Amino acid sequence: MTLKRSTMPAAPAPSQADQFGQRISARLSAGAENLDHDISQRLRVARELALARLAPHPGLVSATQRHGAVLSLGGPVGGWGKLSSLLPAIVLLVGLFCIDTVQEQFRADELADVDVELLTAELPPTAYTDPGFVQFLRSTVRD
Amino acid sequence: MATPTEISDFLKSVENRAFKRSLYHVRNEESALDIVQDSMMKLVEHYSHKPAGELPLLFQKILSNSTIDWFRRQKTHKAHFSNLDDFEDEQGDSDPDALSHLLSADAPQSQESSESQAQRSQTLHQIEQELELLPARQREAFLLRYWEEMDLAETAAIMGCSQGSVKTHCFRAVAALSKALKIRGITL
Repeated sequence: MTLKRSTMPAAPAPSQADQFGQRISARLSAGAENLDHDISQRLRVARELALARLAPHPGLVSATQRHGAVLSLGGPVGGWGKLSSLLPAIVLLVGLFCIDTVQEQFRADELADVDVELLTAELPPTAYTDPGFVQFLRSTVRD
Repeated sequence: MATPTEISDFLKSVENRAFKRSLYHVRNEESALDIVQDSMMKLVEHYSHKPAGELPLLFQKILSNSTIDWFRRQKTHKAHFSNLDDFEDEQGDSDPDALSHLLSADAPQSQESSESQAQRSQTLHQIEQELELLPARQREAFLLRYWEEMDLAETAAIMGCSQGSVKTHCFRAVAALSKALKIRGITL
């Protein structure tokens, strides 16, 4: 232990050590200020790349999200957005329903006209079920 | 929370020194640039919500960790960081008189001012060479304490050791540098 202490350098006064360290640091600082242009440029690029990773401004985020929703129709949109995307399908279904209703009405009117003609004719409706009437129709077709 | 402008200004103010500090450790410009860029990325990604006043300490810590990670990746970590005691014992026999010699031989201000640019550049290069020859922990402690002007507590926090260890590392670094510069005939 004693031997080890004897091999240790005698400690200079703290102020002397600090003073020496500061002198060396001053020299090193002078060197650090004069880096090659290429190194300076690459450090600048590295800094800009790092800063590009900063979180974007909140307003920019919402604007981007809005544009994304408009372009894709699948982004985080509200209730009105979903409703507007379903509107064409709703219009199509309503149109098909209206067309079906109108055609049903036309068929009902045609049947009603037939019924009216049958009921208002001089020939009674039971005559149409008579076997002689069938025979009459066949002979008429042959002629 | 630090504003983007504050973060940008901070990174701009430390990037040169961070590069040189990494360069002293890894001795390779490409690797030093990678370490600095990686450190900047980590600071921005993980600590941009911190107050601007906390950024210097955080960045120095990140830079130290990134440098250690680089050594790990290079599989030279053990040689540089593991057997520190062995390195430091070898460095412990520095000439105690070297520092006194350098400090007592204060060159006149006029002489220093007349030193040519080439001589200054050469002196700087020699200092950097000697700095690179220091054991990793001594170099780290010296750079943080004197170059980055961190106090003992901050340096200890960054290096993950006690303040007493920081003092020891710094003292040995100063002693080794003073001896080496004396041999080279350099007077500061």
